[in-house]
Amino acid sequence: MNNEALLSTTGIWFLVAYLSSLILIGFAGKIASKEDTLKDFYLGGKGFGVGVLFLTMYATQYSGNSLIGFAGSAYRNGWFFLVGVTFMIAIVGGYLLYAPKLYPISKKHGFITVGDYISFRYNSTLLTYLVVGISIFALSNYMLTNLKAIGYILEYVTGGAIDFMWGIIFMSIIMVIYETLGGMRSVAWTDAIQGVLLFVGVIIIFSVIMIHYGSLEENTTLFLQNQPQLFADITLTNQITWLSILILIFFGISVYPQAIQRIYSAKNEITLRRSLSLMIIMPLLTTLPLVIIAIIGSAHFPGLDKTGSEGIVLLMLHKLTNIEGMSIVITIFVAAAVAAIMSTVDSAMLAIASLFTQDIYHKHHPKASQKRLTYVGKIFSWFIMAFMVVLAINLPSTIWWLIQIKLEILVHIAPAIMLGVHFKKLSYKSILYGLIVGVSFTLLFLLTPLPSKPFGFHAGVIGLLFNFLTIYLHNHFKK
Amino acid sequence: MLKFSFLLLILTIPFLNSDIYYGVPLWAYASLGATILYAVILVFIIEKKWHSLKDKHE
Repeated sequence: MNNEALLSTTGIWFLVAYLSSLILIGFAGKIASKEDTLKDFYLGGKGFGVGVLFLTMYATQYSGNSLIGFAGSAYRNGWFFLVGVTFMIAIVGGYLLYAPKLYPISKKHGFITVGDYISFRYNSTLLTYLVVGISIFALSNYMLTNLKAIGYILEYVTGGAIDFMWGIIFMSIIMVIYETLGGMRSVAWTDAIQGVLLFVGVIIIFSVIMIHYGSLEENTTLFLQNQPQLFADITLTNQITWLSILILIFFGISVYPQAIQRIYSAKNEITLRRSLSLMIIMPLLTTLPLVIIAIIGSAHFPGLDKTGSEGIVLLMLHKLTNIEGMSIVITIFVAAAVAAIMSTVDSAMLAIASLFTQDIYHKHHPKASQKRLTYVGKIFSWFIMAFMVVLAINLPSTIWWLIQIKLEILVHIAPAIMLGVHFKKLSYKSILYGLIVGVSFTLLFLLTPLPSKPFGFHAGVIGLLFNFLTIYLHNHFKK
Repeated sequence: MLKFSFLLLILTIPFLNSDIYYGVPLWAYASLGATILYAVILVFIIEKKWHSLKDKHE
């Protein structure tokens, strides 16, 4: 690890001030809480207006991976990563397949988690547990990758003054404190700050890079000289990969349990609609600028490996440190990256705690009071965060690949939600068999010597095809 | 029909050549254009057709 701190002393103090403000927001969330119920704690009393709802959706959807991983992908794949802009918009298209029908039902029946809907719709404990189990698995993986990322970032930008392990521990404690203080209210309010920081950060960095490195047109000669392969003609394999990514993200990310909770937490339908409309615009203002930045970076700094490419934005900014005021821009980037990661981890943690409390603990303790349930949820948050921190620090890299498959597994709960709201006569057995067959096929491709991308498609996409097919066949022959 | 708007995503798949115009390959213009078209249609659905997507019985 480098010994040179990227953040100036002022930058570090800015970061400390920002992190301290999150704790204060946690207290504000606690003061604003109206009652000791799961609805109030995990959905903010279902009273979020457009501003908070949109920003919490935005900050949650754009993780650290969106800022760092996307830039790395765009560096390595060039314009092909334009698919990132398309799939971030497609996620909202995924919401539209179920949210208009699910939202009114959730209001009427007081849903808190995705498990509530599955239990209400299919009346099957087994199916509910399976969906909840898959959700917790995917969310845990999401937390792990983001915790690891935050550890690396803090170690890198402080020049090792805060090492990987302490970076993770320090940030986790902050997140779990404000989360257990005010629940969804605190998380959404901190998300609002983090969303603004992320958006402003990307726009400022994009402007700075365009001014100092030149536009795409100005860099054309450099592109063709240093990265001609990024301008090669599109092949059939590229087209299949594009389609496969879109399918995986469309059905996978749009059913993230934390996203569904945000749909539940809207104050009313208009609030939800406005927030979703705004979400459609954001990829053009966030992901697209990042893709352009990384492509310009690939022309100026060719030959970086995967890890190096993920630091391309920081590298480009770092090379401009002789320019006055650049330390402020670097601080903004670091703060935006940290904010993006924190908003993702806290939302995932809140979703896991609510799934455990509402769909597992509450089912086994039906007479537990709301106060008791909220208390159990808070304790579980501390437990799950501690567990994730230990894993993030100690998980051997040999099994790290396992966490990469979260989306390929999560995608299999999509039929239960999307088909469930549209086809009233669809039985739980059809969905259950589809889920089992889909996950089995996915794991078959991922865990055996069979190709992990059969015919160029992700294993999760092929598995999803079998999932839908099984549902159709079972439903058809049952009649 | 609105339920099948996601099929528009197929239009975003790159299919043109890589001739460069203003630093961007031709196929990227087409894919970005189709993406923006899809985005506009989604906004239209959310703002104007939301009620037709709702469950009539709820």
